[in-house]
Amino acid sequence: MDHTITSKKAIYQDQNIDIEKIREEMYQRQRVRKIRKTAVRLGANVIMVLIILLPLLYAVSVALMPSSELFTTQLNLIPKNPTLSNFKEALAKVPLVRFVLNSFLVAGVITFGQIISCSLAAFSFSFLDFKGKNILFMLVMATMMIPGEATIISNYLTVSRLGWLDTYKVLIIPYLTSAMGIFLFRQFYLTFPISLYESAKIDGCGNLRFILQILIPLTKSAIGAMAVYTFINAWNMYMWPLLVTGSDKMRTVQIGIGMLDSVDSQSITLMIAGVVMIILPSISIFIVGQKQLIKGMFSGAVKG
Amino acid sequence: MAEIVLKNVNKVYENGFHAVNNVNLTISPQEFIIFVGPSGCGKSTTLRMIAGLEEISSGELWMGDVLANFLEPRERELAMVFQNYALYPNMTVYKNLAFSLEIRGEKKEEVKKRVKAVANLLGLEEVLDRRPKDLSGGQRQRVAIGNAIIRNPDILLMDEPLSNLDAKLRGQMRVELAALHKKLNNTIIYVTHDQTEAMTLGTRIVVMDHGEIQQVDTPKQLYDNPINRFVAGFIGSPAMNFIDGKIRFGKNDVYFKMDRYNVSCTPMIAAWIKEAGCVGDVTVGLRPEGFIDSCRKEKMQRTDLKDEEKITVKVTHRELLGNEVLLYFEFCDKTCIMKTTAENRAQAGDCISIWLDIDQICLFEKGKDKNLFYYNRCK
Repeated sequence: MDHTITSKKAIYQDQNIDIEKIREEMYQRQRVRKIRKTAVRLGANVIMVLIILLPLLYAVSVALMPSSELFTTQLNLIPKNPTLSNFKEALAKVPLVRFVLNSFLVAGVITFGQIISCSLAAFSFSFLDFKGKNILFMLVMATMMIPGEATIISNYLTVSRLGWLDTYKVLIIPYLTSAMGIFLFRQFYLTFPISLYESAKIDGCGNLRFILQILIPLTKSAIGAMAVYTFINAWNMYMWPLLVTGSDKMRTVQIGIGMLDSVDSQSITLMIAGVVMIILPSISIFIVGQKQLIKGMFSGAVKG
Repeated sequence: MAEIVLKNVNKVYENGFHAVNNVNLTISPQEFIIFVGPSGCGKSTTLRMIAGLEEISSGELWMGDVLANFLEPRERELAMVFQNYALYPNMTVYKNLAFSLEIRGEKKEEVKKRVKAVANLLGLEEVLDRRPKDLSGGQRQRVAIGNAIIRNPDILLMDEPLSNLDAKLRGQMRVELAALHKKLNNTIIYVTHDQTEAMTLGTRIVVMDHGEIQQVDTPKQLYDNPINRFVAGFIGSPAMNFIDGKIRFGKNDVYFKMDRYNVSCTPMIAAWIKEAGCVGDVTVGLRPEGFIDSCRKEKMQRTDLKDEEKITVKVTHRELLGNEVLLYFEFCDKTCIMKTTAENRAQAGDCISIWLDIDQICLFEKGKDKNLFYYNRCK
């Protein structure tokens, strides 16, 4: 190797070629190529983002339009006279703030409850050994095959006999655990090195302590993913709250939006303003937790 | 400190796999005992049964005068070093070391003192604030050992603790482990498939195969006097050569017929053969250093090796190990390996003269496992 380099140098010197100049040219070419690549990538991404986000952006824009602007023959993408009156009207027509608080409470408690119940169940399915473990797990998984609509009537009859209708209890308790959550946690725990559990056992560490001090700190990303997923699902619940709540005190946001729509005086801009207000929390939760969500969802897929 | 006794211990898995078969073993206090064998021989399972991580299917495990079968791992007063170290990634080295003491409710002062002492012993003072992922392999290994010894356990279990280290570090840690055992004086039960570790560390070695104990002995005895063909072939690197031959009785002597050579036995071996009542086809086991070339013959002044006993073989391959050299050659239709000094300059293709050191041989009936000379050498 060494030999060829020196000989090349010699050739260049012989032919009076300026090595510095060649080097500078090469670097320059590399820089231009890099910039071009970045520009193309950025442009493509911006276009994709516009296509995907268009409905959402349009919704924001519609929410800011007076309704006269929406119902014209031209396409108005951007409001000419932006106004906040739609938001004001929506808030005046239904108690949206109360609905948002209700939804936050319900979704928050459901998320918290599911994380605890699912992680504990998944712990026993992956770390403990007991008879019928696999059959029990299959049973849990089988519940995922039954659509929620199939059980909704019998669930309704049960909670109405219990006298729970139109309370927070009825919104929260039926959703305190989920097969999907158990499955997600179990898949995550299966990649957890079992020797850590065994080592803790020999150290004299009990199961609960192991979960609190070692398992939970090490599975934060699974918990984060689970939290985001559950919260958004709970936030978007529609059928069940519609069925079991009757008063404005207990309604959640999704029903509140439904209430903005009435046959007699349908106002699209009003409804869209309501929608924009209520998707803000779920979008912000997703933005905060998206890294965790992706990490958690794919945790079982690749080792490492 | 207590003796550990395994009595007819078996492990049968739910799918019917018999992982450990009727193991009987007594481990005395302060012993450094090594379980060695090929993968899947049941050595790790046996260790895990002693640790309490694996249920004992049948048989008894005694620790001192306590029947330990049904004790929880934490009640067994032992500690274990795992192959992948099993350090808690979310805790600093200090926390890792302190964890088992904190669980036992030791006072903060005491914990601090003990962690300091262990860190000092293992050279970990500098890294106490770091997380396991920021440590090198050797340091992680040390933390894992520190985790185990910090409670001063009577019994220390180690499951292939050095197998994740590179060759140089492994050698270093081996020396440190031996020194540690001298200092701490606890019983160490050590599982490995690396026979160098087994030979250098152990006071006694347990050789296992197919879930059964083959032989339990000191490293030297194991090397010189293996009980059967498996142990003979497993212990020692390069492995023992197995040469097929026939026993022939002359007028006054006994000799082996191998290929076209007659190799006569020494009086001691001749007597042992007669005692064993062995005739006909046999397999002779000979260590690589049991072949003697002219260089070593001169060095060792082996005048008993006569010219008419010498065998001529053709070298097929040469491996230099530094001051020693391995020569491969064909003999009796088999590839044999001899170890000699590097002064032997023979290259592949050369013919050399060698002698067999008959006093060193093991003898097997053809197709059978038992070393016929085992009891003779035990005496």
